[in-house]
Amino acid sequence: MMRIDTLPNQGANETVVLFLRRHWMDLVRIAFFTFFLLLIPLAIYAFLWYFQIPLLDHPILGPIITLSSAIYLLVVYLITITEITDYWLDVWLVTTERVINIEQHGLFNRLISEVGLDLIQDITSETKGLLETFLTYGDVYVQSAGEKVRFRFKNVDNPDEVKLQISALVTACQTKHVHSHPEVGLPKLADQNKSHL
Amino acid sequence: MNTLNLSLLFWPYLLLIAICCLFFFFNIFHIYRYAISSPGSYLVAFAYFFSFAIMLIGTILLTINIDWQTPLNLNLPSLTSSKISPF
Repeated sequence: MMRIDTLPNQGANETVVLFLRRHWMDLVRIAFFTFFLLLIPLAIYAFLWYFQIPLLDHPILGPIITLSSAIYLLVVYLITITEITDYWLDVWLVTTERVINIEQHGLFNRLISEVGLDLIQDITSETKGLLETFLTYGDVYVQSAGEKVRFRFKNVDNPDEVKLQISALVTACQTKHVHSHPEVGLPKLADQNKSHL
Repeated sequence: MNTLNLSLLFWPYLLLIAICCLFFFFNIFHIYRYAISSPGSYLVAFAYFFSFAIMLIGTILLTINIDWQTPLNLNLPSLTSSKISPF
């Protein structure tokens, strides 16, 4: 397992400020989906029982239906735990120096990317939908300089607050960068002023 | 004379159970390898083991009473009953 206090390529004074997962509402959706799938064999059994169709008492069809039900339940269970694994392994870390995006897409498909705070140019939070509004969860988009695809923090809790915190960290990082390299300053703005004199 | 019986379904059933076990271990592997080390991750792994054990035991209990030597003679029962027949 990955330890949060010993990240890969961790800087000397780098600390984790935000540790984000998807909102618990995603787990509720998985639970509803599983419940719906489990209702199907129950509905079939209820239908057979109510209309007194003796299929389950048949010496051949009964065992076949039982075997099919057992396999179906196992498959539904596997789908559920795969979705839970996908949920659990989707993590976003914001440290004092970078943003780390860890996304699991099913099994055997994992994406890890990071961007330095000094390269972040745009942070957007989005809360769209009835549940999202009342439970205050949504997406946060982090856009870096260049052609890199923007990071998407999916269904995180309090996206507005997350956006503000990342903004503050980006400002602090960029301020620290300017102070540690005073010769860099704001060269473009100074040169533009000179050209008008 | 060899007659086909329900044991014909036993090995495919066992194969499917083995595939399910394999995918379960894939999930456990992903949690062990890629999850962030925390009490929650250990709890998830424990919950997976516990729930899979219950599912397996339940599956075995469902199929334990099947007579695998039942010959495959498909005499379908009547599907009509007083409740669904309009006549």
